[in-house]
Amino acid sequence: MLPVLAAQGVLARTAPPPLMRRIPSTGEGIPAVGLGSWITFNVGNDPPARAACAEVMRQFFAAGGRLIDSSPMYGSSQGVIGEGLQRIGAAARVFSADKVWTSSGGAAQIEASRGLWRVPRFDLLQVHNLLAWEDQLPLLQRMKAQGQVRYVGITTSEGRRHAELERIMRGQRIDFVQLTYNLLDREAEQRLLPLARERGIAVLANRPFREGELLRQLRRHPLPAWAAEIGCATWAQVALKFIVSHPAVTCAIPATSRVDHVRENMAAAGAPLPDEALRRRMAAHVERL
Amino acid sequence: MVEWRSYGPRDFLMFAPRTYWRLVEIYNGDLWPWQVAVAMGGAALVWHVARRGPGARRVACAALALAWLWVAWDWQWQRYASINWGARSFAAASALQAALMLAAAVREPGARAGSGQRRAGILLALAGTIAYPLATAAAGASWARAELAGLLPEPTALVTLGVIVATRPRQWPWLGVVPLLTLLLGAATAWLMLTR
Repeated sequence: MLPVLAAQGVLARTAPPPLMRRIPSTGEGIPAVGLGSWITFNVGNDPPARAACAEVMRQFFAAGGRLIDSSPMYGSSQGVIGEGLQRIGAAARVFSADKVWTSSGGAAQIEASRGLWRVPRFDLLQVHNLLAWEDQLPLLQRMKAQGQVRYVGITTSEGRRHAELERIMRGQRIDFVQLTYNLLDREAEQRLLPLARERGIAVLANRPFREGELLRQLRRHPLPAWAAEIGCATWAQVALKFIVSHPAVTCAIPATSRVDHVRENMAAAGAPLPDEALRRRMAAHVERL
Repeated sequence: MVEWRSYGPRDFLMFAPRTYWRLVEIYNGDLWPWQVAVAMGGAALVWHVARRGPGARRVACAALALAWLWVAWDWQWQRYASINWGARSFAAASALQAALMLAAAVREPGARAGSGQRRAGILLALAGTIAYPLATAAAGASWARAELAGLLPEPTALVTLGVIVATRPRQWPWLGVVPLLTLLLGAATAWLMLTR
């Protein structure tokens, strides 16, 4: 696979090694910044737009990225990812994270998703937004036991149903939990992130920029002096470093359709990271803006 | 069961505005130059209804049945569904509207519309055939972004409302349900795209 990636330019630029995090249930390392696909990769059948998404993925892998996250809820995103992976020859390199989002017929939906991704199996399957988790989580666990998926998890976003998520994290065997965590949405710090550490559950942080709304707000203000101390040249990097520096967070998954943004995001996935005191200052500063 | 209460309107806008506009541009590009015939046909239809031409109600309802069928198949089912999984349900509603319009075309007319009602109907139909395409083209600064009645749902809904108000087919209020819902949905989508 590596020669294919190199030939196609995926590994052509020599990027510094990305910040890695361990998946607690196995110890496997994955880069701390991934790639989301909500809205950005839902471009339908438009060939130029699909090619642009493939280019974003090419740059993502070139910068050392691996985890791409999608869902059957995301329109054409799964097919766009599958086509992109094939185009750049990265199907074996990707850490494929997808979801099941249905009340019934989960197995058929997962198989359809896998076909769209064009991967032999998913690395991670998650129950999307806790939908019918009592039925779907056992299905995912059976698939894991049979070697049809490597990890299982559950997702929520925008602070939905945290109490129920906590019950699942306490009562079920899951490898990953996905939730919203960013400079302004920090409710997860109270119970869910400490619980994830305690229970050895990897954390994917979604909506790191609140679908861009956070960055649109922050761009009106100059970067504070402490941004340079942690090697941040942009607000996006500040926002990402804040997330990935939390000890419970395994991977943040910003979504973008722009090559310059994916490079900017991946550049944030490295040292130096803020310590706890600076993290508190970062959150306080952004809250005041 | 999907816990819909935990979702907000924004959660259902699953595409970027540029993706939607690009879809409209590609659609118009694929259909060109049929837009000229569609626009002229729409204007002629409104003129025919306005001057109470022979069989105006039947002709207008039959033409709109065809328009809704086209919108359902070529726009909602074939194209819009590629970026919005809800579009196939919209297509079913549009096909139902097509059937209702066809029924209205063959049935005997209801009570005649008053002159004020007729004028209001004609104005609505003109908004759909002329103002809406011009406004969408101006908003996108391109003719490729023009949304024409007969090709896209919202202007088709405006013309339909105008025609049924002006010609009063039997049980005409029922004919307005899908067009009204189409306009509400279109307005919500436009608002979410503009405020994203």
